Amino acid sequence: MSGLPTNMVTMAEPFLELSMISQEFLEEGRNNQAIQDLSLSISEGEFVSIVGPSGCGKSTLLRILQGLIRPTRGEVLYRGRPCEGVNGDMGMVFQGFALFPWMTVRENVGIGLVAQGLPGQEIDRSVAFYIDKVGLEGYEEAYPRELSGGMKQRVGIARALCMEPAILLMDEPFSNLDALTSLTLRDEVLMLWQDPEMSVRTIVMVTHIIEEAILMSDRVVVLSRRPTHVVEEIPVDLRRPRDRRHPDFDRLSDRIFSLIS
Amino acid sequence: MEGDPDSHPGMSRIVGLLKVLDQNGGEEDLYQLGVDLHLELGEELQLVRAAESLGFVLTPGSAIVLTDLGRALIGADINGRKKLFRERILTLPLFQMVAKWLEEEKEGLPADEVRQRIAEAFPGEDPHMSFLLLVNWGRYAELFGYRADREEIYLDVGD
Repeated sequence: MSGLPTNMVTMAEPFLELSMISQEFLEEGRNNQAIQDLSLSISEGEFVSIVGPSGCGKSTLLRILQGLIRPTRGEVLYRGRPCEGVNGDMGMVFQGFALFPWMTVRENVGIGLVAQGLPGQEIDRSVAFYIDKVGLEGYEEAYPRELSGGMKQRVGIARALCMEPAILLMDEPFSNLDALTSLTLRDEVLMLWQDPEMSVRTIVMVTHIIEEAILMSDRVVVLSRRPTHVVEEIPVDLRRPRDRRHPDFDRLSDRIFSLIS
Repeated sequence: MEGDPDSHPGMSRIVGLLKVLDQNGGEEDLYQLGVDLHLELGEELQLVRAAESLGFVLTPGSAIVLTDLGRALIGADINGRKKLFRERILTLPLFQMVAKWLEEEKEGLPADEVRQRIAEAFPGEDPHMSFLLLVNWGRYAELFGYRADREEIYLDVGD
């Protein structure tokens, strides 16, 4: 298993860009500068991790990328064009799974397609395909309360993939799972990313686990404390599948850790 | 009854355990492994026993060793893992027996009845725990399905 061939990564045309983003919140009557002049460029086919101290606005940044939050200043460019509103080419995977407890796995996975008003048959076909892809076949009629955390997050992933996005945004996707389950799910997300049958080519993941960022991504973007900006972008060119015992692993990990603390 | 997903180790944790072992060269001291993974002894042993019952690890003395089957499992893709897991649980007498019952009852069987039959066929086992295992592993392996609202288990014959 290796990363995408470099010729699939279009370096010439900027794919997804944050350009001089600033975000201010009104807090107790005072203007609070959360993000300041943050710029970041992401290539097609890239797996980018965003790490930073807690409270630095990593999740806010994902929501700005998707168009759920409009930044105070700056703009988001997708395929060279400024974005207005929610970007339909993006799917989101949440830390807390965000499943509807009264719906079965099948219904939870298909919720986005139902909302789009697609014909029933088309929804069924697509839902079955993605349920199979993430390994949830056999759980179609189960309710979230019957599922382990790992299985719940697979539902979250299938639901995002079902919308056939080009870009997958993941907000601390493994933080609510035990260590062993996270290991397995990281592995599976990488398999899905490299699966030619998946629409997703580009992944942006927010995490606070440095090891996870190095194990999974092509590049780690380190953010500062508030007001948040990019401190450094660290390319990870370790061969996949990656091994944390690789000597460069500790070097990268120490570097990122020193930038955050 | 609702399946309690955390009452025994699911496949995600078993695969995780095998991956840790693989990264450590395929062998580890059981005590050290528990320390490294921050697992309580009871929890660790339950997980290790589950992996061992499926043939993915061996535990000679105080060590835990990854088997070829265990290596094959972590080397497989998402659905390859499910397939291998299905083959392995079908070597367990509990799963063999219940699969046979359900082959004879195409519409499925009420959970209570299956628990009662388990109590008779496997007097040494806790029927409630066994039933949870059947549902959780059975679902993953696409061997059994379970309708929580009707409390019925059935043979999963696919869509």
